[in-house]
Amino acid sequence: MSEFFNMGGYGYHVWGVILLALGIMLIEPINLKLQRKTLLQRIQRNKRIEKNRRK
Amino acid sequence: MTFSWFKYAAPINFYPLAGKVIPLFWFLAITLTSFGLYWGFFQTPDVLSDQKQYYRIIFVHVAASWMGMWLYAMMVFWGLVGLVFNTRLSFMMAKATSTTGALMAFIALISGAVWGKVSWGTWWDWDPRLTMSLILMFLYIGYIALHSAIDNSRRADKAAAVLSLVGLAIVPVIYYSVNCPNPNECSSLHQESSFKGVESNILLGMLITALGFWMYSFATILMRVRNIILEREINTKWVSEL
Repeated sequence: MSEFFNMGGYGYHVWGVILLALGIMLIEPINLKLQRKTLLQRIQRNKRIEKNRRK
Repeated sequence: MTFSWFKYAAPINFYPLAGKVIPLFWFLAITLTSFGLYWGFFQTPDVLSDQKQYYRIIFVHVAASWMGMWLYAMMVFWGLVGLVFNTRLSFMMAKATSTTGALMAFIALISGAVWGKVSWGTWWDWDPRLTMSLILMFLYIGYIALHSAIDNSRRADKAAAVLSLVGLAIVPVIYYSVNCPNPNECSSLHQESSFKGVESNILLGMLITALGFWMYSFATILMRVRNIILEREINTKWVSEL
């Protein structure tokens, strides 16, 4: 198993690239999810303000 | 019932449709990428012609480089559709594509630099393909910067679409930059992108990972376009009823 991670002495290069790529591909959707959450909160807030104004 | 494409050109109709297909794209992205990487790491020989195990960077590098190019073409396509038909959603798609494309171009450059370090002995060289790939990333950044510099979103859409259209010329240049017919006229350090002599298991791992990256791109682009729709239509009735 350690031989597999060693990658013939190029472990840092190979796994570094894999980690970087998968890391970016994990952060991007998380960021989008958070963005969406903020937007939905803003919409709910607008809705409340609108309701209070009508009263 | 006839299926009308134009129906889904309206953000109000596209928003729920995109929401429905996003999980499907995520499922495909995760399955295909993990399968492709599994195949690439476990079912392939430890050498690729004169390259040792570090050649396995190929699975990420090729997939990301392809996405960098294709997403640029896709971004231009949406921008062009927007300019011709003046449809709001196409511009939003173009904008949503730009960030994922820039990230893919970035992954391609970094993975290429690491690969170059171990196989050519240098992180960077002003080889035609490398230089063009760098310019491609700058074009993405230029698109994003120009878009965010203009306050009026419709004007920003149009200006950025025109800019991306001008940059389109670079995609075929990148594509052909390594397949130089006469090596004396245009020498390049980058390997020829030829499938000849590549073991079929390596090819399979590469193609499936690339397909997984496609699905990933669709998933994130649709997620982003949904956010853009909400942001731009925040004052409309249908959004306030969500």
